Amino acid sequence: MSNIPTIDTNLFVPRKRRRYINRVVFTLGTLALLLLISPSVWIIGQVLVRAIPHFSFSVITTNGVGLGGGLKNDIVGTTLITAGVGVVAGTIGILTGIYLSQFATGQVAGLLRGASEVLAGIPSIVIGYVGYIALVVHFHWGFSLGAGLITLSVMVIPYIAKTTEVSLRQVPSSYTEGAEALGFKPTRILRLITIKSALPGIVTGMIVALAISVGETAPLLYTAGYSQNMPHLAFTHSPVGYLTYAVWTFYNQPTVTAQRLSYDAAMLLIFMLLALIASSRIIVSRTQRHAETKG
Amino acid sequence: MQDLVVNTEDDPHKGQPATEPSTIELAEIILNVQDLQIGFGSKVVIEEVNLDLRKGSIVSLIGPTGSGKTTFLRSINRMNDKVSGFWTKGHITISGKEVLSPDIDLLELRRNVGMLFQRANPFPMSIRENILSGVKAHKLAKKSSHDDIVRDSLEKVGLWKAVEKRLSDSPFRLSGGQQQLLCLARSLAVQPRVLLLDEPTSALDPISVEAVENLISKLVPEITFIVVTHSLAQAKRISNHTMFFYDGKLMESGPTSKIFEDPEMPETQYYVSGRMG
Repeated sequence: MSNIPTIDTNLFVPRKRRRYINRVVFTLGTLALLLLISPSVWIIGQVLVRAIPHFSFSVITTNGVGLGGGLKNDIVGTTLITAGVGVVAGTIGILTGIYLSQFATGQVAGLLRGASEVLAGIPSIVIGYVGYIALVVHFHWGFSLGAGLITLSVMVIPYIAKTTEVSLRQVPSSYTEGAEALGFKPTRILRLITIKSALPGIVTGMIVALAISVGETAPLLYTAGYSQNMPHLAFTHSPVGYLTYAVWTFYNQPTVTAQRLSYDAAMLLIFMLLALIASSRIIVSRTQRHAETKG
Repeated sequence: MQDLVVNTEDDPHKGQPATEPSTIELAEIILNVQDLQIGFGSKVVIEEVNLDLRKGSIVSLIGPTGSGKTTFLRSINRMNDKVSGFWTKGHITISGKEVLSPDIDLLELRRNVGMLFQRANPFPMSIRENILSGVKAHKLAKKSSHDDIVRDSLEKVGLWKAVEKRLSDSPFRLSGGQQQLLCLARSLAVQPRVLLLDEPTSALDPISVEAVENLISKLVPEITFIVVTHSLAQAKRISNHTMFFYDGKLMESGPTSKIFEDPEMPETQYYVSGRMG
């Protein structure tokens, strides 16, 4: 009994201290939040302030001509590349995640996970160069939509696979057990219960991956090339334009028109990202209206 | 309502299943267990389990934590299959079919032998879809009869009035007791012959417990129940047969009244009198 410490009955002293700690932690938390938010607000603000005063809708409706014209070809190019990455990387990444979370065991799983992590760590410019050697040169695809979107897909598959795997693993086992006990086929459990519950995580992974591919420049320089012509839906042998190229190249030009186009391109990229995030929120809220916890 | 619950606990005969023991003796044997031995890796978890169960019985599995009740229960519908190192010896037959055979159609077995878990586990889909999930998985009915199945299943468990107008709502908005009744309705919709209940009421309030227990007594003799319970009062109230597990062995098995009033083994005597576990 003598080892049990006596409880301090003076409640006022620790309470004061608790309040003090509470205030310090709250302040630090708020500061961290501000530090996190301020760069995004600042960047968006700066881009908008520079782009909006001179913005004209002809930027969206005309192709680029030399250092002037519009960004129509770049908008279509970025949209095509991103949509392609969504299909290619989305399919392979989600299937990999499903395989890793549900079926893979032992060494195969370890090998696949390791390979995926290594791939995620390779700098994008290196992946771009590999894409150039393999697709543009070796397969004779030339600078093209195909080379660009496949190289970007290889880059973002690990993100999608990882988030898919993690969110599938987090599905409560009580759901799957309940379905097994009712005599559901494994594929039915996966389709109706597991994937549906994991959808918020999978969609988030997809959005991060697409956001990365919308914003990448280096791998595309090597693979998609650049063109001010409107992309025609050729998979190979036809370079395409994209917005990040316009941001970088036009900003470094001495003419005001070119620099304005650069800000317009940056603004359009930001809008694309916001649209991606908004659509993911809509998908998640639509599919999760019967979920235990709202996504 | 509180009084009701206390009263039933005081009187072991009240709330006894409507089925007379004589009719049970005449009914066909639905579940037969012979020399069952279960283990994980080199460890034997359960041994020497033998049982003949007639259609329409309600069986309670009682015993301290870790005595093997749930392991036994989960091997009847082969839910332990995925646990690594799990093995069985002996026989479990349901209506003459060997459950432990590798050739058995697991999906069909589980349609016939339903299960209700300790914690209600509705699926993340609407109340209506929850009821229909099993029906659709086994393609048991045409779309035109789905409405009737939903209504019939929910009426059986007494939930219809409460959810009639919100069939497309999330099941997670229901109370814990209602969620458990929904899961029961979901199991009933596929017309099982045996229902395995793993501590189905341990997370429920007394009123919900009473609702589930009344329902069980109403559903026999069409359905045979095997119930793992930690509540001795519940075992007394609802079951006509009790199996007492202790340390991985089936210590004693017999009519509930005999197990509680005149047990043969000293361990059983200790447990049912509340001096152990």
